[in-house]
Amino acid sequence: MQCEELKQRLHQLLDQRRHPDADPRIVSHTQRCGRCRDLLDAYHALVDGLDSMPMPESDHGVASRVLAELETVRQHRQRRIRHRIGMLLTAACLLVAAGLSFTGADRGRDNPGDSLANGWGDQSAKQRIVERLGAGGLPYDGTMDAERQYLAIYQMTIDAMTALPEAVLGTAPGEQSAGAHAGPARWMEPMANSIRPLTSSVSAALGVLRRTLPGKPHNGKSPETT
Amino acid sequence: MQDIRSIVRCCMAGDSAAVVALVNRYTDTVFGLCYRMLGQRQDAEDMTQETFVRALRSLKRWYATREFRPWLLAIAGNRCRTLLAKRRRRPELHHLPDSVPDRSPDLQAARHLAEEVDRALLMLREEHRMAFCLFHEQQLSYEEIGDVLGCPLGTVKTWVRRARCGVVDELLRRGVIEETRHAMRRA
Repeated sequence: MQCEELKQRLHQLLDQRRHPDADPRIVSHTQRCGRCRDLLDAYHALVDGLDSMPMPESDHGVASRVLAELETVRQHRQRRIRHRIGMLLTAACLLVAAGLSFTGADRGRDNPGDSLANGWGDQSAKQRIVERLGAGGLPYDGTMDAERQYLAIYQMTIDAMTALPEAVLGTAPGEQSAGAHAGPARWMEPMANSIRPLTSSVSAALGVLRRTLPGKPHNGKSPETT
Repeated sequence: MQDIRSIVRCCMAGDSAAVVALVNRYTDTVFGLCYRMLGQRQDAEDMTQETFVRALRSLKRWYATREFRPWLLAIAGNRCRTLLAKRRRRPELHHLPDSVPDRSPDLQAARHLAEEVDRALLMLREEHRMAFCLFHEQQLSYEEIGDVLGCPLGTVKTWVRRARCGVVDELLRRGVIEETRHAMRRA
């Protein structure tokens, strides 16, 4: 047996989970070759070291920690799902409300861009918009000109939508909500109730804003009906 | 002992007792690999916990036709590699192995040898170390290790052999073989 062959044979033996000197040819070669004897001793040391290497033991609290972590993850995921559904519902309601308001107001309108550029036509209507937005929890002091009203209302709506899930669920991050274990119907009900004044306020405000723009005919539809 | 497939089914149904049973059954296996890979008890415990949380959340992705242990060890290995990569990005947080070799004369030769092997293992490349530990310590077959590491059989064999050579070279370099011979002569 050659030295290189011995190295290969050692690996083969270990691959078969056998002891390094299980092959008598290895033993006879190492009696003649000092370097291979060192190598064989090193492999012996490796095997013996592995045998006497204690398998590290973990503490006994892993299962309870895993359960606690899973519970946290589950709550976090539920909160995230509710948050997304809340956002979607809010967005849908706002889109419907805004769409209804615009559809009614746009009837018979020639050039909406011109009307927007003309600014406020009616100061009392402006006051009504401020009041209506305030009723929906959207603070606005009415200081901007008409051209920027849609943007401002849109931005406030987005802010309200972002804050809505927390308001609906009544939970702070890390807290367990009262409805966490309830079915969807139970926690969707307060959400729907919370969305209702917001959407009606926004749509009403948009309707008033639409009617106040100069040169724009009013279709007579009450914003509250939207 | 309860079949792992039924335990997994119960876990997926939300049974806490099944979760505890599964974790208790594989804690030592997962912790053993994490400890060998990371060389530090605290990190190994954290990675063990993370491995189980990930595995339990991904049970739907485990196919019942596949062995559970290699699948679990693959997750553990990935978590360890991620942590090791983080350590490399923060070199100031270099960890020494918990059990630094003690050269006191009354230390038993076997224990000393085990510590030297443990130390030599930490000098290896991550993938070599993992392949070595999976083969020699976890007693996985080369095919299973290939599954765990996601590489061909030939690569696994090469990595295990390189790991052995690395450990043997380190033992020779540190004069462990001579010490062992002395200890054996004294005994």
